[in-house]
Amino acid sequence: MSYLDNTTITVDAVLTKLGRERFSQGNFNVTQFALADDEIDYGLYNVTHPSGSDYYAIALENLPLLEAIPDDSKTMKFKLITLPKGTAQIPVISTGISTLNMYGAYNGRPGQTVVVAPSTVNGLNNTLGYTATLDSPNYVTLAIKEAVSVRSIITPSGRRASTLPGMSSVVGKSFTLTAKALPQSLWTTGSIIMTINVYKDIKTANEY
Amino acid sequence: MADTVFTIFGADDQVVASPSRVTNALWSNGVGILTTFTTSLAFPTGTLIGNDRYYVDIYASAPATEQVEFSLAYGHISGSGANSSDLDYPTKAIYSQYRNLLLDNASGQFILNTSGPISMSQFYAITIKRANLKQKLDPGNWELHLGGLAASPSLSLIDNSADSNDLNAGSTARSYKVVSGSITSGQVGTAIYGLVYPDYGVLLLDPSIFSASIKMSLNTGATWVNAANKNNIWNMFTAMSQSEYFAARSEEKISSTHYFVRVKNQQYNYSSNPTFYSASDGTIIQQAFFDDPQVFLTTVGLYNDGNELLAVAKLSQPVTKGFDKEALIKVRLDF
Repeated sequence: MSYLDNTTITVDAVLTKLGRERFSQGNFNVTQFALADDEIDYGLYNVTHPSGSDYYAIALENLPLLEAIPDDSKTMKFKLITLPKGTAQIPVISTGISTLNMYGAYNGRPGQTVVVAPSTVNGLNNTLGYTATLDSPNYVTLAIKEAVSVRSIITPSGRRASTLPGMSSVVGKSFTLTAKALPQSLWTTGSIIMTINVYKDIKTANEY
Repeated sequence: MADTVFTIFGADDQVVASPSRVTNALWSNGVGILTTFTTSLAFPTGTLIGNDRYYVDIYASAPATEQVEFSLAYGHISGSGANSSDLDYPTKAIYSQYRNLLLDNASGQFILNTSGPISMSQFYAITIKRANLKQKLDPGNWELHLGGLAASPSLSLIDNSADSNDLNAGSTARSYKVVSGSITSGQVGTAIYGLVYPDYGVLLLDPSIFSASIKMSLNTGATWVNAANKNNIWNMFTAMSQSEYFAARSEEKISSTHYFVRVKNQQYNYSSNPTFYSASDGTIIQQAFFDDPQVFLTTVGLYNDGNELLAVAKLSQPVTKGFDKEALIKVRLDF
C-alpha cells in the first residue's frame, strides 16, 4: 500500500506583451483558457520502441521544456482541440496565402487592400467564422469583410468580441487588410514583416 | 460537446490569494552582501562641482559597467561641512530634504532617544537605489560595517526592529533605531547610531556618535577645503571601504491570482500541431491515435473575452492527455 497521489501541477504564468498593455489600460480580465503542445514533435512517438507500449511516448514525456515566451504572437502556436472520440481527420485552416506583399499609402495614394478569406478542410460548422489576430497594428489595419451572425460572435461573458475597445482580434468569415502609410525611412526600399494568425473555434453544427 | 479551443473559467476556478511577503537579496544581480564599494568620485584634491557637492553614487565595481547600489550624502542642519562660498548650501539642503521627506514636522529634528532627548544635527544618508529596494528594506536583516583597519576598530550596525515596536507607527515614516550588533547575534550595547526608514530605503547615521570610535575624520567646520579629511562624503566612503560589508534584503508583498485549469477526460485530446496530422487532408499521422489519441500538453494560455492571450504558463515537462486521463493545473499569476 502506498499513498495516493494528490499532487496538483502548479505553474507560474507570465504576462504577455498584450497582457501588460491591457493591464496598463485597466482592461485585464482573464475569462477563459486554452492549451497548447508547442515544442512537441509527434514524430518522436515510437510504436516500435523495444521496451513495449509503455515506452511509445517516453521521448515526448521526458522532454524538458523551455520557459514561456511573453510574446503573444509567438506562443500558443499549436492549440489542443476537443473533438469527438474516433476522429480521424483534424480540421485544417488555410488562408491560401503564405506571403503577402502590399504597398503602403504614399503621397495621396491609398494603401493597398487585400481580402483574406480562410477556409477549413474537414470543417464542421462554417457559419461560426474565424478569429483573426494581427500582431502589430502599426502598419496594417484589420477589419471584417464578411461578418458572421451576431449570435456566433458572442464571447463567453456575453460581449461581442469585435466591439471590445482596442482589440487586435476580430471575428468574421473573411477579413480586409489595408496597408497604412509607411515611415519615410521605408519609402524607397525596405519592408515590414508581420504575422496574422487565423484560427477557428470549431463547434458542431447542432450547438446553437 | 463544449467549446473546442477555449474553456471558460467557472466562478470557482479563479482564486485571489492573500498577498504574500517575499524577501530577496537586495543588491544588483541577486547579491546579498556587498563586499566591494567603488565610486566615480575622485580623491578630493579639486573643487567639487555639481552633484558631487550633495551625494555620490556607490557601485559594486567599476561605475561605467555597474548599476548604482546606493547613494551616500552628508547633511548638516546649519550647513557645516560645505564650502562657505557655495551659496547652494549643499549640506544644509540635504538635511532639509530628508527632514521634509521623513519627519511630520518639516522644521523639526531627527530624535534618536526620546529620554534625553538626543537629536541629530548632522547625518550621513545612505539611500538605496529604488530598483534594488523593490518595496522596502527588510528591517532586521541588514548589517553595515564601518572602519576596520588595524588602527581603526570596526563597527557593525543593524537596526533594533527585533526588539522594538515600530517607532512613529502612525506618522509619516516608520523608523527603527540603528544600533551595534549583527544579524545573527542581535543587538550589542545600548548606543544609538541613527535611524533607518525601511519603507524609504534610507539609513541616517549620526557621525558625531561613531566617528571618534572608528577614527573617521569629520569636518563640521564652517569652512571647507579641498583635502581628503575635510570632505565628509569621502571620509564616510573611506570608512565603509575599510570593511566593505553591507548585507541587506529587500521586501515586497506580491499579490497572486490562482487559476485552476480543469481538463476533463473528453476535452483537448487532439492537436493542431503540424506533426500531429497530415497537412494535405488533416489525417492523423499516428495510426495508434485513431482510437486512442494522446496529446502532450506543454503550455497553458489565459485569454480574455476577445480571445487575446494575456498570460502564458509553461509546464516543466509535457503532461500526457487522452480520453482516459484528466488534468488539474494551478496557474499562478503574480502582480
